[in-house]
Amino acid sequence: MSYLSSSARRTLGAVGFAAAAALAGCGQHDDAPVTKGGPVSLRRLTEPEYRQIIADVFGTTIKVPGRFEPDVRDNGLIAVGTSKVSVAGTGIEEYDLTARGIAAQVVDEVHRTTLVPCTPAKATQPDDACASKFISQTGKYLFRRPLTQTELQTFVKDAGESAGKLGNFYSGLENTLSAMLVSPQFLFREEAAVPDPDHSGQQRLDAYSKASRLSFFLWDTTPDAELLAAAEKGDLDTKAGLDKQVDRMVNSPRLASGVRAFFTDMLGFDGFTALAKDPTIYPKYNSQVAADAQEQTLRTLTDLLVTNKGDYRDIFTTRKTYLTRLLGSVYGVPVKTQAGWEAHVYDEGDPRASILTEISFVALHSHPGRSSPTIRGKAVRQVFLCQKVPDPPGNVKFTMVQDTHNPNFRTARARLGAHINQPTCAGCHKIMDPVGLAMENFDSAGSFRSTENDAPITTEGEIDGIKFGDTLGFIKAVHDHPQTPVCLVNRLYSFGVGRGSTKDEADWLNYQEKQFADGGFKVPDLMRRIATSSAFYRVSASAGNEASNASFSMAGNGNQMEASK
Amino acid sequence: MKLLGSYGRTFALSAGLALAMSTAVHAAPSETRGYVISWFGIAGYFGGDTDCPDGINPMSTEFYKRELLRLGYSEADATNLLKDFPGNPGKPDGEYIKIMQTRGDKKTNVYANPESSYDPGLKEIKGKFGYGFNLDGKTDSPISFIDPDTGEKGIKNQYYRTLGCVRSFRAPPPQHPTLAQAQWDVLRDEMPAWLIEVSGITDPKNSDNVTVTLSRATDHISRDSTGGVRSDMSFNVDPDPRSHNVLHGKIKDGVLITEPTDIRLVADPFLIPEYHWTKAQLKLKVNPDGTLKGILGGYHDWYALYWSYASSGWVEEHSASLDMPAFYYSIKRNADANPDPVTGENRDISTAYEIEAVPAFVIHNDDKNDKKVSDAGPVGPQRIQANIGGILGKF
Repeated sequence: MSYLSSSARRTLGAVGFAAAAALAGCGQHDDAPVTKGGPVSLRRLTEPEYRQIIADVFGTTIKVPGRFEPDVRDNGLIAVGTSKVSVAGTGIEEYDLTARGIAAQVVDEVHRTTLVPCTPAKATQPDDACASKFISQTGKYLFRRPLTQTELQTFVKDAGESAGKLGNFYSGLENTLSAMLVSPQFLFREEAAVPDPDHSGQQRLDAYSKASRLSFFLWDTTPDAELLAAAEKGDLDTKAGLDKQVDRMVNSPRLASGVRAFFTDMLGFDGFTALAKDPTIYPKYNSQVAADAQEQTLRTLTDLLVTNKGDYRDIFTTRKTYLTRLLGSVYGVPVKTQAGWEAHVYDEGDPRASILTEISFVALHSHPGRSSPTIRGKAVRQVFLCQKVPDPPGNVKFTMVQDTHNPNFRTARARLGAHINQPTCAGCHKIMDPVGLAMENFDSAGSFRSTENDAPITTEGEIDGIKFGDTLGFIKAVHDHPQTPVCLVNRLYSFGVGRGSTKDEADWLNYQEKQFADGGFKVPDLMRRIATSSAFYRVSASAGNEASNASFSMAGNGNQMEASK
Repeated sequence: MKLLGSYGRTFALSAGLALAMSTAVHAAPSETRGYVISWFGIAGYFGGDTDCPDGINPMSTEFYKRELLRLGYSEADATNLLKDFPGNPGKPDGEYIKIMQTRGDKKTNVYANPESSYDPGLKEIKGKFGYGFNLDGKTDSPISFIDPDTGEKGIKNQYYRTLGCVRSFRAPPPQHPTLAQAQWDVLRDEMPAWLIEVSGITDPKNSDNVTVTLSRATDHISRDSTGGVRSDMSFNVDPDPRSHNVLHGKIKDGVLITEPTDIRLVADPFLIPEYHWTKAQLKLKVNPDGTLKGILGGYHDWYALYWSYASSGWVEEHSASLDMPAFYYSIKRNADANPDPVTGENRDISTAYEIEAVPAFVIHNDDKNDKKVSDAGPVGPQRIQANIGGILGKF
């Protein structure tokens, strides 16, 4: 943490504290309750972020080889877990291999004419001027701020020494770029705080930290040139300047990338990497189906939420989705497009019309050889309602629910009905099973079924006092659940700031929830409000101790929720 | 395409039903069901020792040695020539191969000119049972088989009679013969799929008037996680009229039977460039799991069938252990239809193929009811600059 501490002391960089103080009169103002903010964070890049940055900075023809350190999910989000992980020794080796592979491509004969902004005087010798130009221009996108003079001089010196020893200018650049890609400044999103001129005694992020938080929140990547320039000029410290940049980014097609990144995280799609299905039971499921299933949901979400600026709650009831032929084979739907995607609109009343009944949800939250109403019910509560369901006790006997061939209990409903007779199980299963059983018409791979072991499947249930008769009633209940939009606001904010919300931020979140509802539950508008709020950038040195779990604990009887925020 | 059932497979409401609904005319709704062929191979009945009382035909090692000895090679020389059989990696063109290629008159390619060789004799099926159709309507013909499942007499399948005692064409059910399995395993990945569409189904068990369209797709099959043909995939119909066959028939007690007609199907040179059956029929049973299994039978030009194997020369002869001159004389002798008006020799042979099919969606390119596909949805992650160079490419 000494690295963070030293970084946190960094001031406004190119802008300088004096300039920031001069701009204090132009500070942001909004009607939202004032918060103290949270701690600055040091967030390790996720694999998707890493790949996106490389593609954006160097182009999509640069391949990113190798493996990455596994991410950690905390508070329902990997985005929060990224501030609680480090890099192990083996991880450094993997990052190093990846960095070397990227650097070699960037300076190879195919790419150097495009990616290196100058030509060395002699390709066999060092050229500090040319190396400096490349390193400074590349460095600001990788480090998400201009390199310090010390950093630049060090990298240029290293490039020159390497070029001299290897007799090749580009080999020198390759070595230096490789070093930059394994540096903490690249692998970790470091945030720095400065005094907040609008609120005496408080702190806020410095301009480049704001740019970085903003860019990853809205675009899921490193800040572009315009955003970095705005940070350099101090524009992000003014309401008008910040609004201008946020408006530009929210109105960009790239907002879809940010929305996709958020839902990829919130929906737990990282779980697909370890998801397996028994091929003898579910022969239609394979890795391509898994990939298409995630893309199906992301296309559905971005079409509804970004392209059409729809009501967030409609993701649970939308009849429009996107399919490939492979997905069509699982859903039992004809797909005219031979290669690629096409829109599909389910008939009214079709229970497949919901992201809750798509493969990306029902398959992800199932066992390899059978569905799991319990896991699915738990996932609905945790993912979409931000409710915390207790883990099962260690001495549970699962024999009853695992035996799918017991002639006395032919359906999951029957098996679970017998299982919850165990007193230690009943409390939690009453919370989860009535929810998960609503999706029992979908097997572990996502195909529709009306029977299990020739016994008819029924999907009636109850969620937080709302009874429903079938899957359609269930998805409407989730759509109408008051906690549904509240959870989204909380998750989105946590995704942006990289931590759970604090108790101090409860009023501000309530305010955002109301704004979200009053505005028709439009996600881009919510993202804009968060991104332009001062709360999004406010820093409290002591807030770290106050950070709470932003979810809602489920009481044992399943009938009450207790908000802990 | 309007789905009748939410979870059906091309259970389409016909235009007739729509009309009936609007005019209150009482007509039964009909369904259309689509399938993709998942297995295709010569239909045979393998009844232990009774079908080949003369024994099973020799393996290629055996008949190659027989031919070498006949050509005058000593036992030692023949053994020596075949010692690397079928040709080790360093000797793909063994000397014996060249000898076998001209084993008729020592100068002519025996595969292209099988009559340059004598007839070594192919052991043939002599059992009573066989699958196929009574293609000529005769029940008392000496070449007739009895359908082992239904007891129907008069079944004609001289192709099976010819090849049924060749080891690579035999397998105890439900296994498939080795050669056909190997061929189909390659073909189903490399050849566009064959489609079956059954329309006019008023009752899956009994429908008096159904139309069966047998066609080729422009898509290949997809495999599932077990290596089998993935069901419920969508396939576009190839507009090539050479592979568009419309058959008429009925469903009786769950078995679909079509009336005799000509069937053409473009295939693949690895199997045969194109099948062209005359007086062909389909008999398909709908299984409880929704799949189809049955027989396609009809008369086919026998020389095209011979050449489908002989064109590969030594490779096919060796791998299938199919003595080509013996096969040639046998299939020619067993041909049972379409006599040449000049020579009187039959030009066609009765055949039957086993077919299995799994449910699929058949997409017609000219289907005006299908929605236009233009909305592929939001694309993946947007790039700051999605070409070579990324941000840096701007410099």
